[in-house]
Amino acid sequence: MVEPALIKAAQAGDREALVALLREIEHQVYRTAYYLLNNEQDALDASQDALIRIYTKIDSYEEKAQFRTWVQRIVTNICIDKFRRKKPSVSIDEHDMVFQAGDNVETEVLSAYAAEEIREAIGKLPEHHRTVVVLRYLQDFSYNEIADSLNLPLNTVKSYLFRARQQLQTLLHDYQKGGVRG
Amino acid sequence: MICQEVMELMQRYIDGDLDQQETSLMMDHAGQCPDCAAMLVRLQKLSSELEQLPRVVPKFSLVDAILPELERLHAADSAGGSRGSEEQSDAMHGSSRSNRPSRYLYRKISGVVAAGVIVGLLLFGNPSQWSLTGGSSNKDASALDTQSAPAASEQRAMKFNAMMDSNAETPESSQAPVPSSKLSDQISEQTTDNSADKSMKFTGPISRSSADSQNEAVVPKVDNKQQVTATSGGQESGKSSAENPEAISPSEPPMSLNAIPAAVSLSTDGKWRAIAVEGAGTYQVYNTADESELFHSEVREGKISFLNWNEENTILYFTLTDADGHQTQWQFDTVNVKETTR
Repeated sequence: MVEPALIKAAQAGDREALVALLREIEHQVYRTAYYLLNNEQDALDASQDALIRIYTKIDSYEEKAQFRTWVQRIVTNICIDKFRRKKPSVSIDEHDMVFQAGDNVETEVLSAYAAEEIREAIGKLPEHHRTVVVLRYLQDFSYNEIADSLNLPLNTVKSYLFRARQQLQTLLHDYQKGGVRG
Repeated sequence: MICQEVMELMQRYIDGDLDQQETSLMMDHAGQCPDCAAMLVRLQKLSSELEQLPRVVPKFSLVDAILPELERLHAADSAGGSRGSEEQSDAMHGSSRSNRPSRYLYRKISGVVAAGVIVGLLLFGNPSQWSLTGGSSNKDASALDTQSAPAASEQRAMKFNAMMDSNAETPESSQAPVPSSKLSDQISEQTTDNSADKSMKFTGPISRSSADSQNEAVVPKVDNKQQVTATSGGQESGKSSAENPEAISPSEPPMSLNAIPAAVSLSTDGKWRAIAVEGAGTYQVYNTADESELFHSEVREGKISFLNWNEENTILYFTLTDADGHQTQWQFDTVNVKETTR
């Protein structure tokens, strides 16, 4: 957690404090960008943009909000902007064309999904579902923290998260039925 | 207790959000219902795997990489005050994106051309609608106006939230033929993108035509600017206005882009709403409870029609008619969020 004193110093114009603060948050910023954009280069670009924006906007941070939800709001906005430019629509079913379905219920429950497959499945979710999942699992945010970051009502956050998990479950379930994993 | 309610309990259970009573309710049900028990196992497994996703770190120090830029911002800040530094940072962002404007440009042009063709076709095919929709278009236009106000970078950054809000406020009606919120969002996105992207040189006509659509008919405007590609829209609108002088008077344009009719189908339990914009070849499914978008189909060649729901309200059926009039039957499954041909 970033020390409140460091934030205060940064806001007061202490440039070294501001740079130190950016160093503290660069990993959490990158992690969100990486899982939202699903691409290393895009994530590097987006997190640098986010850090620069935090640098220029540090004055606008108000203490009543949590610093880390404020940071995540900035990085998710940048990422959403970026992937809207890149990929106007989301296709959920593309893998169905590649793999034939077959039944193997037992291995399904037993085997663990590889991180890679989960990351791909997250990438297939609609943008706000994806954002909610990333904040919940990669930032360990509570419902309330997600709601603050995304400026959404609590119930909406829950419904996005629940639906996202249901979709992920279906996507990964289908993968396994397809027998792509042993 | 029905499985649907248990599903929500299981989801909240995974987040540690259940009290003792709710937990035992859920467990009681899962004890008798093998489907729910299996679902609980799968959800728990999924959740723990999500928790274990690798905490990736960048391959180099991001702060070191942006230090020179921060240095410049700092220098500009000392010289010109904080306003100047913000402007500079925006300009910098603009230029860093300038290496691939052409694709967006084509997309935007094709969007406007498509809109022109759609409006033209609709004017021709369905002229009686204008008098019905004219009343609401003013209201839509004013909403559009507030959304497409000049785009500072902060505003663009907050666009996500703004769109969320406007989606949430969409009034529910199974009969309304006007998916106004969605369309005006798309338009305002085009407009804000154009004005924000300083590197694009040829966006003038496009951003003007989408701005003008607030008060004027779209077709003539688009037709002027895109004479070659949008002729079909133009001709048809001319023809229909000749045939229906009362419905479409030249001095008082009858509609804005927002009044494009669409097929709307509400599931009988009121839970889902499917909307297919005519001519666009795409459809969306919304959860009416919170107006969230469940599914946004890819754009296909052809027209989507005959939206209807199965008895259980889990599957949406629709027909895709291509340019040759050939029809294919499709279905979309809300449980698995998947579309297939029938």
